[in-house]
Parts: sequence; structure tokens; C-alpha cells
Amino acid sequence: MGKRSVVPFGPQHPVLPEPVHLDLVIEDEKVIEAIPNIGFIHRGLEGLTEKRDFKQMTYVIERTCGICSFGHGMGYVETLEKMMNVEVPSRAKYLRTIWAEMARIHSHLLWLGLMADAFGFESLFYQAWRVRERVLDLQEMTTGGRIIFSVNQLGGVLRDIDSEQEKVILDTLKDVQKDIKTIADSFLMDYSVESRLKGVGILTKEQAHDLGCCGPFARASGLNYDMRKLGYEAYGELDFEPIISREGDSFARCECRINELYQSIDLIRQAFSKMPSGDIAVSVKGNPTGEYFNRIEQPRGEAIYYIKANGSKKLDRFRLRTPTFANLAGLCEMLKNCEYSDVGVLALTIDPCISCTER
Amino acid sequence: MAEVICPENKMLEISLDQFLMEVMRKKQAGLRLDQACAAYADGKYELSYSFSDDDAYQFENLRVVVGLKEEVPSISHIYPAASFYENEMRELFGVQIEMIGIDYKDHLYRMEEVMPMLPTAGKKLLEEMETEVKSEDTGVEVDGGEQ
Amino acid sequence: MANVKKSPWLIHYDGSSCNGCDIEVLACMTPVYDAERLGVENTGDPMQADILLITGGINSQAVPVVKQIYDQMPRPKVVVAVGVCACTGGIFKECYNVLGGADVVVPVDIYVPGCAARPQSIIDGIIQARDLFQKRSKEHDALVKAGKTYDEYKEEEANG
Repeated sequence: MGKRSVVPFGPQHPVLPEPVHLDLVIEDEKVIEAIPNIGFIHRGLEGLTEKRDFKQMTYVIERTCGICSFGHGMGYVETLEKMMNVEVPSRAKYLRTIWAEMARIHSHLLWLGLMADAFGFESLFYQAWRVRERVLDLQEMTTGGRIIFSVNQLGGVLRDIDSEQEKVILDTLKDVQKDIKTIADSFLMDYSVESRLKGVGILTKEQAHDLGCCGPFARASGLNYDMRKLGYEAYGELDFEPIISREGDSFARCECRINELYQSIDLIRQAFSKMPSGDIAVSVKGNPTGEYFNRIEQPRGEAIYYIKANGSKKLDRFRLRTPTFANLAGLCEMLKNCEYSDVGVLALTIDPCISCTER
Repeated sequence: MAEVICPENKMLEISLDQFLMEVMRKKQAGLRLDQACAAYADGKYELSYSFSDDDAYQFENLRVVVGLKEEVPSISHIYPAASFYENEMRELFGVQIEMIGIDYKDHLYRMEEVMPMLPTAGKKLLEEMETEVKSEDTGVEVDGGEQ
Repeated sequence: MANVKKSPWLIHYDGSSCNGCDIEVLACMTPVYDAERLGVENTGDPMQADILLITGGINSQAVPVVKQIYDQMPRPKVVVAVGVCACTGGIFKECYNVLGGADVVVPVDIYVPGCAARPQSIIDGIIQARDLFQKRSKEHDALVKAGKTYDEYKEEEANG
């Protein structure tokens, strides 16, 4: 029985881009327990509903997180539309789906670069982000913004994608797919990556279910749980299956996210081939009443939006439950009995987005 | 064509006595805890607990309405993941949840403001309730206490 | 940009930002907008850094952390506030937990606006920070030559 000590991890750390503090209880280089200490990014934006009306809150909620920005805007606006019984035109639904999948591609490529950097593969980090820049150029061409593009409005979207832009997008995605294959293969087939990730940080299917995990973190442990199957926006008319793995270790999580990259490119191609012509927005009058829970699939997992309104311009209550908040319990469980030097790498396999967690 | 699952949002309003029993029923049925949140309405807290199903994507909600100083039992011994949600409810709104598994003792977000999400009307009510209790203890009449 | 005496190193810290400006700062270091050709490198150690890039507003938990990083950096140093949240508090200025921009804690020299700040503006900020760093290095060298300490120099400046 060795001596136990408590070692702080974070908030300023070269491996993690965001401030989070973990208190690690260590005994002989093995982690016994991990207790998270959050609160560095807590701004309290749910309290801004008292000062802004429900249409201005779209811009505030989009800035909860810079990486998952489009998803938050889309989820909030969708919740209001369901409460007010607004029928969004079909073309707007397809456009939202296309932008949501582009956001998923850019988020997973960002994660891949940071993961490689944590290993010491700096050149793979640069290559992944170079490919990501091409996707950001597509987003800038269609919406005007690189990462925070405010195109969601109540009743539809603000901009359209014409046929010339569609051609450019499909050509770029062909090159992007080839580049992703080269980068992903050199990451997954590398001997040192396999030996550091295989069999480490295992979370079984029962543990993932009991702790309420979601997203690729849960799908890598065998849970068949993807909110896109609910058929919101245009997902009901597209053909896909959730990507599931059985092992539940860190390598399985990496594989799941990389396979989702190929799936997202395929979904964008399907959406373009099926998109109808028509209006991109309807005008909406009046204020929302009642309450509603809405769920969508962000790149990191399931996000729940709850709105309670009373018919005035300001909402009573807005609540956003983000995927990393649900995965925190799973992270603490997974870090038990791992080596102290693996903590940074394992924390990155859950793809943490602390600014989403703390709002 | 993809197979589309369209469950409805179900909401069941229960009292505090039935609360633990209903949560045990959800655990028995194999549902997982999705989220827990609090809202303030007309001098009471409205707590919402959401559970969902892996296979059929059902989404069921339990709604419990409690007074401002009523004690609520924690469900973190049934669902361990509930600790974070309950700590947040206690710190931001002041809901009196007891026996939480991992108890941060109001230091989860470590803010300087106390109960920031409780609106001013709610904070006033809490103060009035405290002055009433104090006046009962000391036996001194206090003017201005509203009923 | 005539005489480049040193290549200042950067350290980047996220106060309470939404992460948008952080990933644009990291994107500046990657191949397309490469800021490393200016001689700067992103380091994780405050004691080896010359320029501090702060993103996001400041909340009460972040105050001691930012102060500690600033104090650990050796003089001469330059502070750049990236993004409108670090300049003034931005869209979250009226939130209950946000105190304001980065100048609540540390003296800021250069402000880069934008939400999220574009890489071109950030590189412009880094170039101006590097020129300011050159100027402060020369002053620092003159001090060392004259045998004075930094506190004595500040006292002389205050007395005029």
C-alpha cells in the first residue's frame, strides 16, 4: 500500500485548450480518483433571458461555444418553432442539415489535430488543421463567417446556397475526403498510437448506460444512441446508421469519430441530391407560450434545450444541457486505474468542450 | 429510406411523496437519466427530471413542485450521474437538496453571487420567510410580514 | 519590420471565452495563416514567454489565475487582448458572473476586436506586439547598462 497524494491538473495546461481543473488522487503513479473542479468559464448566460428578448437570445446562445456554435443556434430556434407551431419550408431544413454536417466535419478535424498534438505528432496536427481550413473556407463562402455564422432565424435561414456554390462544395469535399483518408490512416495504423490507446480507459456498456453518457463516447462502448434518428430537420429523409463499436476503449472512440467524418461527407452529398427548391424562410409573428424539451445531436453528443415561456417577449426559463456535462461522470469513472501520464490523452478522447459545460 | 423514430414528449406531474418511488420505477424499466433542472414560478420551484430510453428513444419527464424551503431527497444513490445536476440546482437556485453523493457544498461554480438565477421576487420571499421564523423563535412581533 | 532582434514567444490563456477566439489563435499557428514565419512560437510555459494573448472575459475565478501567469512572465512583456470579450466583456458583459475585459486584471497594450476575431486581425495584433516588444527590450537593455533596477526606473519616471 503506497502513499496517496493529490496532484492538481490544470487550469493552464499545454494539452488542453480550455481551463478545467482536475484533482487527481495518486498512489504509486496510478490514479485512484479524479474530482473535477469547474467554474472558470461560467458566465451565467442563462440569466440573460431577463435582459434580452427571445429573438436576440439566438445570438447569445450561438456564442455558448465557438465549435458547436451552429448546433446551438439551430436547436434553440427549432425549439421555438415547435412551441409556436411554425412550419419551416423544406429547403430551409435541408440547408440547416448541410451546415450542421459541415460543422460536424470541422469539429472532428479539430479534435483529431488536438489529439495528435497531445501525442507529440505536431505535423499531423498541422495537416489536420490545414484540411480543416478548406471546410472553413466553404462555410465562409456560404455564410460569411468562419466559425460563428449566424444564419439561423426563427422560421428558416438567412441565406441560400446557389448551384455554383454547390459545385464548389462538392468538388472540395472530394479532395477533403482523400486528405482525411491519408491523415486518419497514418494516425490509426501507427504502432505507438495503438500501444498507447488500445485497452486503456475502458468504459463498459453498462457503465456508459448507468452514468448517462452520450455521443461518440457512448457509441464506442456499444450503446446505439444517435439523436439524428429522431428525424429532425431533413435527417428523416436521409439514409444512415449510427456508427457503433464494441470495445469501449480509447482507440474505439478515435475510430468512431474518424468514421463519422466519412459519414458526414456522404450525408452532405445525399442532402444536395434531394434538396427541393423553394422559400428559405417564413415570417413569424407573436410570442411563444408553454414549455418544450427538444433534443438534437451535436458533434459531441446529445444536447437538450428546454424553454418555458409565458407569452411575453422575454422567456421565463431557458436551459441548455450540453453533451460534455453528461459525459463528466463517465470521464471520472474512466480515469480510475489509469497511469498518471495518460490523464491528458484520456481526457481528450471524450472531446471535452468546457465552455459548453459551464455556459 | 431511413427508419424514423418519433416519440412524443411525456410529462407526469407528481408530488414530493411519490418522487422517490417514481424514480425507482424508471430505474427498474432501464431508463437513463438525461437531465435535471429547476425553474422558479410564483413562489415555488418547479423541478424537472428527464429520462430516456436507448432503444425506442422515448423521453419521459417527471415534474415536482416544491416550496422555497422544502427539503428534496437526492436521487444520486439511484442514478450516480445526478450529482452534478443537483449541485448545480442547489447553487444557482437554492433548492434544498439533501444527501447528494458527491457534495460540492455550493462550490461547484465558485461564484461570488449567491443564488444568482433566483429572481428578486423569489429572494424577497425567502427573506420574509426567514424573518417570520426568527420572530417565531424570539417571540417578538414583527410588523410588515405579508401573508 | 527592419531589424528583428529577437523572436518573442507567445503564451495563450483562455479567461472565460466561448472558445471561438481560442481556435482562431491556434489556427494562426497552422499552415494557412502561419504566424510562425514571423518568429513567434506557441509555448505552454509562462516563464519562457514574452507575449501574453488573452481571450474571453474575466470572471471571479479567473482573476488569480491570470494574475499568476502575468507575474510569472519575465520582463519585458506585452499583453494582447484578442476578441471583443477580452476588450470590454462583449456580448456577455451584463451576465452575473462576468467582471469585464482583460484590463480588469492586467494592463493591456493591444486590443484586437472581432467576434470571433479573424486570423488576419490576430496576426496584425501579433506584429504590433512584436514591434512594441522590440521597443521595450531596448529600454530594458539601457536600464541594465545604467545599473538601475526596474522599480528605481519607474520611480524616476513618476517623479518626472
